[in-house]
Amino acid sequence: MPERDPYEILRDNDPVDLTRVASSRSLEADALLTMITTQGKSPWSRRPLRIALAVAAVFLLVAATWIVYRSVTNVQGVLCYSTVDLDSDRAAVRPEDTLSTQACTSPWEEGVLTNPNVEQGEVPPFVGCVTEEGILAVFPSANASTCASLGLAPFEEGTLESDSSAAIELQDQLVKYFSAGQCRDVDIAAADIGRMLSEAGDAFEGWRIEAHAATSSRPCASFSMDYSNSTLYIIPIPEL
Amino acid sequence: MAANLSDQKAARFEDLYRETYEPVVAYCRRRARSHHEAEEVVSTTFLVAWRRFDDFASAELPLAWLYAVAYRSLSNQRRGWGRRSALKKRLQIEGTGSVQSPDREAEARLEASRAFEALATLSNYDQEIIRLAAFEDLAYEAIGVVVGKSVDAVRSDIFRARQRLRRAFDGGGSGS
Repeated sequence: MPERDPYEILRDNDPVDLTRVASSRSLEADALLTMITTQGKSPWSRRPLRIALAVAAVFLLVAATWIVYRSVTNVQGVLCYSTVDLDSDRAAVRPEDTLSTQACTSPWEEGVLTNPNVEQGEVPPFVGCVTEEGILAVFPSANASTCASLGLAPFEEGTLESDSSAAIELQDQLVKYFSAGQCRDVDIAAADIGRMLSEAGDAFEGWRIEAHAATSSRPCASFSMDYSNSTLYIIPIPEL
Repeated sequence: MAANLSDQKAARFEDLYRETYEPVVAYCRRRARSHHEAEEVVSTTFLVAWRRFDDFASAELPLAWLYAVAYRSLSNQRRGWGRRSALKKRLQIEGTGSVQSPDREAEARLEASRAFEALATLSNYDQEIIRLAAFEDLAYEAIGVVVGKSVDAVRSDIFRARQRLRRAFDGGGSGS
């Protein structure tokens, strides 16, 4: 029996399982889109954005395999969901001085988030959970088993309160530093960030900087913070 | 007005991004050594699309335009890659998803493995045009956009590349 045409064999054996490709509405896709379209602007707005996770974007760009968050470690944003469903509409807000589910009050008060079971402008009870990326995700629910039903870890109110303010302030500085529209040299960025860390006070005592060498295709510095290992990574990215 | 234009641009970009995100991710995964590397190329590709938004938005075939960007980005990284082992590994991990008897399945996997090995012996250009036709299911015109050639040239190139693939598959040696 003659063998099949290898081209036809290849056609029947796509090496990518398309069912495993993240949807264009996934968190990953949203984060990358936001990172791209907010270049040169502050990625955080006081007004809740549909999705605005600068850290997640940097994470996606270059550091996905380097950082493992196991608890609420990413204090740059809080994800507020409109229903108890990870695919539901959501708003990302920046926490104020403390990390709390109450950060999601304003999207509900302002009508940014709506839900047929909640009166327009009213604030529902919240349940806070922790995503795999260490982000606080807040759902409109009074059910204590909400997190478990979504496969997420529960969030304990007050976690990181003492340090979150300093962390937010430093992250603001870093976002501003790297969003200034210029290509930052990795070595210079490492030195500048070292100064920022030492000026940030006790909250960042013991932190170290790990800079990865730039390449010709990735000459510019970006950053990612790993709270679980007290490490700030300087990561080379392409020139934008 | 400036803000308006900026908003319009972002909205148009988002539409195109949503339409093309999944095929671009799949394209990159088919060619990259790892998911991590594929993510980097996906990011770079859409960053370029944003920076060159006018070209992207006015492209007759936006998806092929993105593939062209990803193709160049991957080509820059491809030197020295151990393509054969990477492809074989992925094939083993992801498989075809089809349900067959154990014997037939083993045979099909062996046959697929041989086809991928034959593909890996071809030049990068031949591999690319075969993949674009076989996996991305692109027409000659779109393949031409990706690799920067005319439709006639692509038609002829694919014909020859398939012959080389056949020879490599039959002989187990280089088809180039």
